[in-house]
Amino acid sequence: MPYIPNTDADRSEMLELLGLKRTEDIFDVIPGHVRLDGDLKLPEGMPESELVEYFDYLGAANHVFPARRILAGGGVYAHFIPPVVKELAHRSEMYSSYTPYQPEVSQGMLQAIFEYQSFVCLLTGMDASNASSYDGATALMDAVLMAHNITRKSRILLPRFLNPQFRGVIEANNLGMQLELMTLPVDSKGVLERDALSKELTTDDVAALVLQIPNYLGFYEEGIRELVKLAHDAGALVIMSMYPFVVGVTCTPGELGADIVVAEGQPLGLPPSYGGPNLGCLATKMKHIRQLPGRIVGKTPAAFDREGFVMTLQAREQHIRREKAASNICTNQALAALQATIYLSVIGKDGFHKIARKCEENAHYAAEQLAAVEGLHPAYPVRAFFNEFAVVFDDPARLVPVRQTLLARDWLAGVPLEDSFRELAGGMLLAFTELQTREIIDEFVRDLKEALNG
Amino acid sequence: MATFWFQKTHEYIAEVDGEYRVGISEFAAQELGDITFVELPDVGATIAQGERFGTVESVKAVSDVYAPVDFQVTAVNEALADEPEKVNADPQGDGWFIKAKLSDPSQLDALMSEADYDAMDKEAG
Amino acid sequence: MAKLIFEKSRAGSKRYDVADFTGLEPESPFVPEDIRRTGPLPLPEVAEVDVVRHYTALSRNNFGVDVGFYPLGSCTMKYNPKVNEEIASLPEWAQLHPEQPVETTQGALLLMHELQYMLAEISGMRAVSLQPAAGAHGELTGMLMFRAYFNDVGEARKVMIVPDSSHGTNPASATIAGFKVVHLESDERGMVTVKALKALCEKHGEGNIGGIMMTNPNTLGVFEQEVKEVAEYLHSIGALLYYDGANLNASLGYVRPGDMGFDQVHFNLHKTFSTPHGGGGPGSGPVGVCEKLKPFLPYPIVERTDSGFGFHRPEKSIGRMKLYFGNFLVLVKALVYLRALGREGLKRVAENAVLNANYIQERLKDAYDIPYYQRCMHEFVLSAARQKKLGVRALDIAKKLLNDGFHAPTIYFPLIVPEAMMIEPTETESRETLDAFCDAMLRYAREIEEDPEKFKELPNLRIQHLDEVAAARNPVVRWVPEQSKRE
Repeated sequence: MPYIPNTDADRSEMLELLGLKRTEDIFDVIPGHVRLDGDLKLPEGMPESELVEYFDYLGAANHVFPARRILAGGGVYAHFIPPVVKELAHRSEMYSSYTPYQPEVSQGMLQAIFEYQSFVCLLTGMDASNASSYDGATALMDAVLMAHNITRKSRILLPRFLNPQFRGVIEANNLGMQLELMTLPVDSKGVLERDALSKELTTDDVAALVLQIPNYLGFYEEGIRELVKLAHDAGALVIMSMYPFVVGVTCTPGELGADIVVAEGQPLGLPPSYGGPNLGCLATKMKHIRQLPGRIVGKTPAAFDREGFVMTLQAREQHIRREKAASNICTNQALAALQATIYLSVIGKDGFHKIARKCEENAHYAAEQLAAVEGLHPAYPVRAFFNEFAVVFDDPARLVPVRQTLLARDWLAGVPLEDSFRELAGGMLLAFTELQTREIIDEFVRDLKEALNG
Repeated sequence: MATFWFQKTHEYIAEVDGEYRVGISEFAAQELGDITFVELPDVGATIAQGERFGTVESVKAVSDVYAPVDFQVTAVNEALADEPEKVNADPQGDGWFIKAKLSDPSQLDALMSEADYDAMDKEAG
Repeated sequence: MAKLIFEKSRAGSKRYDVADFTGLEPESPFVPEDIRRTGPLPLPEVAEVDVVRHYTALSRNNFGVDVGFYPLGSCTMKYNPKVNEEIASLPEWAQLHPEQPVETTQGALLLMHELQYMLAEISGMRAVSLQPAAGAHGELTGMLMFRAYFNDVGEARKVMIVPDSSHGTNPASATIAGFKVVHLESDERGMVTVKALKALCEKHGEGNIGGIMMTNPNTLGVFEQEVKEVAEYLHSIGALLYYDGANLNASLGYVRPGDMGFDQVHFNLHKTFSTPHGGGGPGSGPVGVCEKLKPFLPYPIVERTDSGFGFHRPEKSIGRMKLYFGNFLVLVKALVYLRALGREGLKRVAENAVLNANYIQERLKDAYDIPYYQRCMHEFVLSAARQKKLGVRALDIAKKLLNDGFHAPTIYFPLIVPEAMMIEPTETESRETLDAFCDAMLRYAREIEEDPEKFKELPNLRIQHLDEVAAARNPVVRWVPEQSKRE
């Protein structure tokens, strides 16, 4: 039997110590009326050679797009991952460990998480980060709950163009939280309506204004600094959800006045992985650290004049606070956090800023080229965007067949928008990373034209 | 000279030079171990008897603190923000939590005297 | 403490090349001026070889199952088969983009469909959602579904019962889903009884009871004898039962939560099904439900249709619990494991897990107190109360184990046992390893009696006595760049 080292001889000696004869006698404390009658309806086990073959067979039913021909994002992006990242993150001393409750033998993971927290603080402009959350969507949900706990207010203002999955997670969880979720409308140009925001803020019961940088359609909300000020003046906190690379070209959310910052960290060295595992980044200002959910690692003195790392502020957490805990989070995504930490160390200062600029440059080049294509138009008048933008087919019915044709040419072109935003029927969100070259983009534009004309 | 009243959940209220102070008892401070953080209400807050008005954290535990009587918060012990260890060092002196204005001082009569509190079987509580 | 990666930075020591990166100024012309970045972030600049040495050094300073015995109770630290890792890292899985049309991901959907089926069969449930990202996330999903179910049938049941031995996540999850938590005391065997339960329900009003969250075997490693009767009683008053799957390893192929009467379960794929704990995640916590809760499952669920596999949204779904379809690569690893073991293999897992735990308990029962001594399942809880009288706490014994090359058991949990040490060896350990651990523990018991102070010396641990009080009083939780320090 795989993975079970004891022999029959071992077992019979061990059973003897317990005064038992057969291994299954060990279960005689289980009342007969709940025991399974017969066998589970499951297949027989397989030797490793067959396993590998079986999963190859399953895998063959998937189509893997070349990373630079994936022009879809929506939260998960195809960036390049230097091989050294996987090599290091796969060291089994790290992945086969549990949460570092025993710091004496877990300094490696604890230090890596401390470095992760430091990276997150640098990117977000915050003072304190947790050791990671499940993903960007649950991190946002945690941030909302945090804002509610800090302000003891219950209204949450969400922007119209928030990642629809992020919104979905907040809505599902709200079944228990019972907060009042309000969506801020946009005008015909896609700009958040300032008057509507001001009106929402006249009541003093707003816990938080949520902003996404860039928003789901890829562009920056107009006048972010003013929006932040309006919220703060009304006593509300500002939560920003960011694309990690955006701060290669913009101020950090902290510099823009955010109180809590979240991010989906997958672009930082995690493969798309069919949408999981991801990495939820969640950070805040020092004064809110005790409301920050999830694990936190801190540096502290140790014996013999040394310094080391421990999990700290554990009194916030569920294993101590139980039903009074600010969150039920138990695990984090430590391995994903480690991967992001190694990735950021490997690309370094030079790589981070170059990648950010290249993502942006590619998207802008593509937008320019597409502007000359007949049969589609930008979803909204072009304004400042990062690496994603939305286009709409003049004839909405063309979206499906065109994407299909592009698929056949090995392009994963865009995320369709109509399901989430009814007014964007025939629209799709195109994403670019540092992986494209001008040549690739030109080829895509050519193929798209042909598909439209075909 | 201070007069102390206690309640079962180990909070005290003390009259010191005509002012009322609220904190946690020496027994409670010792039981909690090294205190790392004290969360206190805002000045001006009105707290009803039995209501939670703060929390005390140690490394491995966290406890709520409850109002022994109705009161309004007139001051909080700002020093505890940087030096929560004061609560361990002198819980019934320098380690007080808040100063309070009582709306009904007669509520004090229902609390335990220092002698009654000392005699209470605390382990069972 | 080793230097931080930031402290190893040397300006100009790392150039990173991006294809086709020509003529781009560092400052973006595309960002509105008032939010534009004007100077680079202070990220480290470290040559690749030094990055490799840095993280290799960190890994050598970390204890995992691949380093040694890890009997951490309630965490099921079994061996992580390497074939799981190998398969899950193939591009056919790792490089799939979640926005791909399902026609291009039929292999992934088939895999998920197969896992949904197998988990349902193992637990005796009718349907499974693979979405929750961890055990606690599964619990939260379950509690939200209970809430949705009661809303649907028009009942405002507010009370969730949690035994006093439960995991801390249970009450926290129930609270976040809007339930009021009440604790149920265990009897002298450490078990839940219908009698105590009924009294508690009557006290809070039977019509207010939303349900109970239980593990079975419970956190003492004891099989709940009255579980069926508990289920019958709770169902008779209209309440629901939630099964915390943390301890499922003990009963694979022998008992199913569904047959015990539970309405919903979560699975910890990172415990029972051998996927790595990863230093705290990513885990995966799929949920399984009975027929009447099926319509409330989070979406998407994989279903077989005439044209292949597709995603489906249950009619009264609570919605979405995380991005996309769950921690997909973890699902891949779990299915590889299930396929490797198969029907008979799972039974061998449970048998050997339980035998190993009982073997240790039997060997240690005279040297330490075992407050609820009886046949245990996959784990048991001993108490160092006797040793504490001599001045040595469970914590000291745990550190001594670390000093001697073992990982420590879970300590001070469950809360109902003083100086608790919760030991779960798992089935992947050999008798030789168990004996080495038992020999050490027996030796400790003697050494503590002889010289408790000397026992506390930890000559092999480079880092020890970390000051947790200072860490909490004055939290230092990040590296601060020099330039900000000066500001």
